[in-house]
Amino acid sequence: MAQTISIAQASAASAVAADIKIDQIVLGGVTIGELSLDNTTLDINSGSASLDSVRMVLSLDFKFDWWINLGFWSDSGNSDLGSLSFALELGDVSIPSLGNIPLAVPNIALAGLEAAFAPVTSIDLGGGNIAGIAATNIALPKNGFTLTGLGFGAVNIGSIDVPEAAAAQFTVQDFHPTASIVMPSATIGPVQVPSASASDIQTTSPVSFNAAASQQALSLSLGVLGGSINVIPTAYVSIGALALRGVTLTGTVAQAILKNIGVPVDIQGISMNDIDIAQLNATSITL
Amino acid sequence: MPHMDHAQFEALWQNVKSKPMVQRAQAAPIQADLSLTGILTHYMAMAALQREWGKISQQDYNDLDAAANALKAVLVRIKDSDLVAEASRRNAAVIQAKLAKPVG
Repeated sequence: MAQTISIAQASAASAVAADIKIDQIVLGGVTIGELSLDNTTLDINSGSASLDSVRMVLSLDFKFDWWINLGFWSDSGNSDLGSLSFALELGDVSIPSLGNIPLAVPNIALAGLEAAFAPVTSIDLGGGNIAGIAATNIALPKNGFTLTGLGFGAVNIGSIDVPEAAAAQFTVQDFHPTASIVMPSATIGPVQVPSASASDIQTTSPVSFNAAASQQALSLSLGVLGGSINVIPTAYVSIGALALRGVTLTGTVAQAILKNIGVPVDIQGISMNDIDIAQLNATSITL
Repeated sequence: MPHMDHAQFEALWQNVKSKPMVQRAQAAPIQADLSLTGILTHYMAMAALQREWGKISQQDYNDLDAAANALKAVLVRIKDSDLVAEASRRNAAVIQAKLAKPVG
């Protein structure tokens, strides 16, 4: 007659289960090593813009090119006729609409996105803490054994190693791996950035610049002598402040790539049925 | 044209905000010897080129040069350059009175 031994407490080196059920996998705070946005286009629409305290100094530089031709004698040259500079105070200049201003933005945070993750392979959780382990109806060895010509009233065994055993049910209450699951990459896109408004934008320091117009000339020929008066206008401009009001922002991101995504994992409520245990170590067995 | 920063603009603005700033001309007077002696000198230089190009003969050039030298001798005696300079000053005064602006 084949016999089996019941064990109240045991540990196993490895086991195979026919059916594994996990009640819940809790994902912790996700960390993203790198977020890169490809082909990001943003448009700033400004309701109105104004240039405050605009001042301009207009400077006119005069040059005179002359020539004399008497036949038996001629000469030519040029002379600096000096310059004339005067002030123009333009005050505040209003610009009704700037239209679209295209911008390149290196980083942007977006919420509520659906991501297509690449398959996760070679998961190494690096060990972890297991709590609430329970195995019921352990029978060892699983195929039973036979004793003949031997009878015991009661036997206590200090330690036993059994090559094979079986358990009806094995449950783990909580398994918390030490390492996070690292997903290699994920791709999102295209993404339409929703329209957003911004507060008024104003420069913090005055802006100064200058520009020169093309040279203009008045020519005169009187036969034996002549010349031309050349004028070079230069505008020196100072803008006290540049203000943008009623700014809205729209844009698209063609593709967003997330790399090295780390997810802390907490696996709760693991149960396995019809388990074959390869190497079982047990202590304090009672027959 | 160098870029002007804000401090430089402020300095320029202070100079011109009340009245225009004028930088005077720095033109050197045209130097031309308009005495008859000077004109004869330029004329003979032109004639020498024409002789080299074959436009006038050597004999004609020699006759012209002899006549010019004879005339220059008289012009030296009457101080031709001083006469022209004096005439130029008188003309300038007449034109200045007419235009009410400095001339010459």
